[in-house]
This record gives sequence, structure tokens and C-alpha cells, in this order.
Amino acid sequence: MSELRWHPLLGEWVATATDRQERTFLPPADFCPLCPTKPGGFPTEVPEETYDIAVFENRFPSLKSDPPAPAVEGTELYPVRPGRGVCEVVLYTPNHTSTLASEPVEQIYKLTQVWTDRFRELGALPFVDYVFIFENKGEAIGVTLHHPHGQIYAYPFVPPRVARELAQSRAHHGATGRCLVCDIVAEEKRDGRRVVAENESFVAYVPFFARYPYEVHVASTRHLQALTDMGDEELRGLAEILKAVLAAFDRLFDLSFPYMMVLHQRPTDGGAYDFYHFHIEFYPPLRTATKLKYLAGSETGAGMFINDTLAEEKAAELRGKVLPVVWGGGGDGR
Amino acid sequence: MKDEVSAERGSVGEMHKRRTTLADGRYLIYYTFGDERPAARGSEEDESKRGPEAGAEAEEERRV
Repeated sequence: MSELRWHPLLGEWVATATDRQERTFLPPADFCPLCPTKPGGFPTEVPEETYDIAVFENRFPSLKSDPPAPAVEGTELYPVRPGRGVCEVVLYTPNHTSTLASEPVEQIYKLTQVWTDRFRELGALPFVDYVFIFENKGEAIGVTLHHPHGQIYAYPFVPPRVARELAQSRAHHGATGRCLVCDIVAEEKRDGRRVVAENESFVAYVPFFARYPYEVHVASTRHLQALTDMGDEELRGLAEILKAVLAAFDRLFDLSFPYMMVLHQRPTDGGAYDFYHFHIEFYPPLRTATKLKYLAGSETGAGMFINDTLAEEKAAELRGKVLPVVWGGGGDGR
Repeated sequence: MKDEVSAERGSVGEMHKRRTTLADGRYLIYYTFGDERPAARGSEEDESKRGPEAGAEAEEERRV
């Protein structure tokens, strides 16, 4: 069952997806449902091994393209609607033990092309207003399957976090005539202390306003709103900077670094969002090699994050772990 | 299973896309990259638009 229930206090939708309670949870490596099916072996989600990247509809989706009627009747105070949307799983590689950080930059470049294709295809669906590309990595984040993968949620509305960014961006543009993220990028480059890596097309930085100790934003240096606005060189640049940041994360504590990675792009609802600016945000939960930054009362109940660290210091740590990205260098090689 | 093969051309290189339908009705898309399109199962319309060869993996050291 998949439905959307209105949260009147926050003015947003909450998805109820009861099928997800029974989804696969940390299976052993020899029983990975995301690995290619072995000859004579238990059937997995992926019948074949011959692919670079595979995308399929999530077996346990939060949203469905053809959802059933809601389990409850809505009221004027509590509207309910079917949970219509699309949930996809993106397999980064057939290799179970790999990670995006350890893949060669060529594979990440392929991924940027797949992301672009999915954004274009899902965004064209009439019931989709926002295509959200993301990755949850690591048990610390709550990942249930270790095979390297990301996800795509195609929402029937603009999700709250993005809606807030859009409102802030629109207000800034109205007040100044300039793009908010363009101004942020310019300030971060001018200051320099929080820049982690950069190339011709992108800059990665721990933002001045970081909420997580090792939060990193990756923004395009050219003002654009989505992957579909990028040329080939920009997709290559994106792959390079992602490789650089992800590998630096792993070198920080010499472990496979957990994180949430989210792509913030323009909505696909047909509206005009020229004032908005494509960027990627990383939220790593680790604040040291062994300690997590938890979302406790202030963060969750009041919405005010408390960062125990200084962005400038964390950026310097990460910057010290960045190495040049080599095309043709093969897989890790972090 | 119903397969669709499509090859996208463009300045980003040659991406091949093959859509299939799983037993429970969900779709699964295989993306492969390179000069040759993957063999598809069964008969299907070839909607591929071949384009320039995919860029070889250039040994090029970049800033990042």
C-alpha cells in the first residue's frame, strides 16, 4: 500500500508505504538481490551480468506509477492521495564489493549520463513534478543492501527541502538580480578556506553554513539548473570532481565513508526556474572515525542543526586528501 | 520478455540502453557503453541512433 497523507502543521506530504517494512535487510554477500543472477543460483533482481549500469523499478517502492487507493479516507483537515510516482534503483556496477568511490572516473562519467537519461525520461512523465537522484551509503545511514547503488524518486510534487531552496533562491534573485548559488560559489572561491576541490566546470566546498562536520557541496561554475543543461565536458568534469571528493572521503579515516548524496535540480513541473542552480550535497554522518553526528532534538524537533566543528578546518582536512583524478587509471586507486 | 534497444548519440559518447520487463511487470534497463550495441533477446524494433564512437579512456591527468 502506498499513499500520501497531508501534514497540516508542516504543509507537506508524508508517504505511507507499508510494503517497505518487509524489504530485504542486510542479506549475506552470497545472497545479494542486487547482484547478477548466478547460473543455477537463486534469482536476483538482475537476470544478466552484461551491463555497465542497470536501473530497475524498486520492488519495495515508496511511490508507484499505478498506486492502489489509499487505505483510509481523507478529510478536509487530513487530505489523502494515492502515492503516485516512480522509485528506481540504480546499480553502479555488477561488482558487489565495489563502491562509487573506488570505481574509475570513467564509470562515474557513465553514471552521469545514466542520471541525465533518467532525469529526462522521468521528468517527462505528466504526473512527475520532481526527479530526485540520491544515494544512501553505509549502515550508519540505514542502508539495507550493500551492493553499490543509488536511487531515484520521481515525486508528484516538489519536495519540501527543494521547495525551500527554490523560495530562498527566488527571493535572493528578486532582491539582487543574481543567482544565490552563483553568489555562494563566488564567495567560497574568494575566501578559499572551505574549497575542497575544483576544476573547470565544478567546485566542491564545505559550505560556510555546513550542518554536518564533513558536509560538502558540489556546484557547477556555470549557471545551470539540471544535468540536461550540461555538455559533455561538464559531465566529465562532474565525474572528476565526484571521484575526487568521494575518494578523499575514504582517505580521511581510511575506511569506506558513509554518506547521503543528493542532487538538487530544477523541478520538472513545467515551471520557470532560471533563478535556480544545480548542485549536489553530501551529508556524511561521521564526525570522527568512530563517532556519529546524530540528528537529535534540536535538529529534528526544532530544525536547528548544531555543528561541533569549524567548516574551515574540516575543509582543510578533506583538501589534504584530494588527489588528481586520472582517466585510464583503472579502479581503485582511490 | 519485451526488450527495447536504444542507442543515444551525443557529444557525451555512445550509450546503449536496453529496456526489459521482469516477470512481475517491473521494468529493468541495462545501460552499456561502447561501439557495439548489446544483443537483445527476441524481436524488437531497433530504435538506435548510432552516433560518434564513444570516447576512448584517455590517459589524461586533470586537476581533479
